[in-house]
Amino acid sequence: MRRTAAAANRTGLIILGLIAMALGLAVLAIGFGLTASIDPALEAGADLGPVASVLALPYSALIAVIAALILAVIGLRWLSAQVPRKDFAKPFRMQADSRTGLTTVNAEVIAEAVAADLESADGVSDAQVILRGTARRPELLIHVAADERADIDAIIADTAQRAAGNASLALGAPLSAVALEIAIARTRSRRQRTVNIQ
Amino acid sequence: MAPTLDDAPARRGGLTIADKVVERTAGQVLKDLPGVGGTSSGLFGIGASSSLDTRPSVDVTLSGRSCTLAVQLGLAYPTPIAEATERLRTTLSAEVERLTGVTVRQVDISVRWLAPDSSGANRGRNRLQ
Repeated sequence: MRRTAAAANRTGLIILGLIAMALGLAVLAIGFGLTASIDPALEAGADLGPVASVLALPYSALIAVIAALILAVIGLRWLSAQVPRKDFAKPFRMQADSRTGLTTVNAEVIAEAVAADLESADGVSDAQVILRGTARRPELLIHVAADERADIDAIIADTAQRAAGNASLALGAPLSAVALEIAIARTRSRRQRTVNIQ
Repeated sequence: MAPTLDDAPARRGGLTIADKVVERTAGQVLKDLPGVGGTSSGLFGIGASSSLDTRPSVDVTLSGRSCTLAVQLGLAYPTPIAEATERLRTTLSAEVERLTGVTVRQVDISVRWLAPDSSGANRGRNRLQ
């Protein structure tokens, strides 16, 4: 139901791994004296004075602060990417002719209506819906929390026929995919206060 | 008796219609349509509520003797959104033009919510088909 940053994490770790591996190989190459042929200064017993002198430059502190800020920004972006997020579809454009005007509906609006429709069914205590795809090929991801004594088969049938049918009717297009996840709610999170008998 | 030059509308005086008039007219036309609602603003956004009995929000941009309408509304669910809004656009354009004399060039519609029409809000009215 939610997209996590697993792919971004893998990419970041691969990049960090490659950088660490390149640095390790470079140090090994220097240690084994393989780089002396490239630059005589890069031999195993070389004096590290020239390297240390870089740190004593007048702007070294400023460069270090800038580098730290860049790393902090990268770190914060990585941290924010870890928050699981729902990937709703882009707002649907549903007009027949844009010259006479646009009709815009956010995917969340339709998803909320489908969730409310599902929650009106017997035995359903909570429903969460994500609408993905396009106006012509919409997809529904549904998570239903059912009472532990509910008729699960009836909930599945109601979701597949009534709720999905209503969503398809509203969208004016057949659903290209419907994914249903049912969880058993041992405590009722939502208590119904009113009932319509007509 | 045939009209004379003195009876010409230009001689009788001018008629100016403010954009607020077009907004209110369009809002009322929408409110009278079944299965269409709006959101009340509440006090500083607190206590805002949406229902099929509330007048939809309309923003008018006048240009010469024509206008563009931007509408924010809610619809009864389940309703075929594309068909309903297309019919609504046609009706709104025709009614606003008939009542105000201002030509409606475009109607942009943003559907803000969809709610089941089971609350009794529109009971007795035909659902928008």
